[in-house]
Amino acid sequence: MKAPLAASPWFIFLVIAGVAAGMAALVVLFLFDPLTHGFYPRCAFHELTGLSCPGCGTLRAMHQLLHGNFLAAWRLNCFVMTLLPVGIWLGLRELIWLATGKRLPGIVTRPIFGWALVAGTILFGILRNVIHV
Amino acid sequence: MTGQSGCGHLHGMYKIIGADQKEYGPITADQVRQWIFEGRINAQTKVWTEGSGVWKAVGELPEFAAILPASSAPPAPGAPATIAMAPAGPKTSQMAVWAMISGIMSLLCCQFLGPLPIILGTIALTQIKRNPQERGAGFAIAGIVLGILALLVFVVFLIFFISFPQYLTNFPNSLQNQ
Repeated sequence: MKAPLAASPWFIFLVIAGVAAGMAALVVLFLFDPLTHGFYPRCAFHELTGLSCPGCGTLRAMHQLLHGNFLAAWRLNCFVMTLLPVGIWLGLRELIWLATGKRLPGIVTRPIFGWALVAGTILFGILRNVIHV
Repeated sequence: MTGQSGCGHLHGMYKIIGADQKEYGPITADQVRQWIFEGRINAQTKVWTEGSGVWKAVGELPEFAAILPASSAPPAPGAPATIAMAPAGPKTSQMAVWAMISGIMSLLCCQFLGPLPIILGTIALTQIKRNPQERGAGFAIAGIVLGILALLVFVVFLIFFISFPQYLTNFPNSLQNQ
C-alpha cells in the first residue's frame, strides 16, 4: 500500500520537476501564440513535405484552448483535441498512483486501444491532407 | 529462480486466499510467481503450502520474497474473480506493446516524444527478463529503436533549422527582420 512516491527523495524531486516543467510549458503556451512566435519546435514532417502531420497544429490548438477558444482549437487539430481528455485522465491516473499507491481503472491502457490509436493517427494524417478535416 | 524448485520441500502445490476470502488452488509455484507478476497476489496474500500445512503470508515465504514488488497494493475486491480463470500460458507484456505503439507515434508525428518509448521499452525489457512467463521482448526492442530514431530525427532537424533558419517555412515576420 506504500506510495511509489515515497521510494526516494530523488524520485520525488524528478516527479515534481516533471510536473513543474509541464506547468511552465502551459504558461509559455498561454502567453505566446505559436502562430506568431518562432521559438517553438518545428514539425520535421511539415518542413520536409509541406504536408500536415497528424500532430500539426497541436501547439496552436493548445494556445487557443488555454484562452477558452474551443472552436478554434478544434479546427486546428480535431484529432488531438478529441484525445486530450483521455490523455489528461491517464496522466492524472499516473500521478494519483505515484502519490497514493492506488491504481485507478485505466480501460484504455489495453493494447488494442493503442493499435486503434496508430490506425486512427494514420487515417487522420491522410484525411487532413486530402479533404482538409 | 526456477533452480529453487529443486529443493525437496518446494515440490508441493500451493493454495492461496483471495481478497474475496475464497480459496484458489492447488497451484504450482510457477503459477504463484505469475500471479505475483500480474499483481493478483501481494506480500499480504495468505498462502498454504503442501510442505508446511499452515497458512502464511506470501511475503514470509523465501521462494517468493525476492520477486514480490517493493510497494504492492492489495488486490482490488473485484480482482480475485479473475484468478479462477487466469491463463496458464505465456502472456505478452502490455508495457512492451505500448513501447512499440508510442515508438510508432513518435516517429510518425511528434519526434520529441522519443524518450517515452525508450523508457517504456527499457522497463518492459527488465520485467520480461525477470519473469519468464512474459513475452514481447521484440515489441520492447522495436519501441526502443523507433524512439532512438525519432530522437535522432528531432535532434538533426533542430540543429539544421537553428543553423539555417532561412529554410523555415512560414517564418514569423518578427524574426525575419533580424
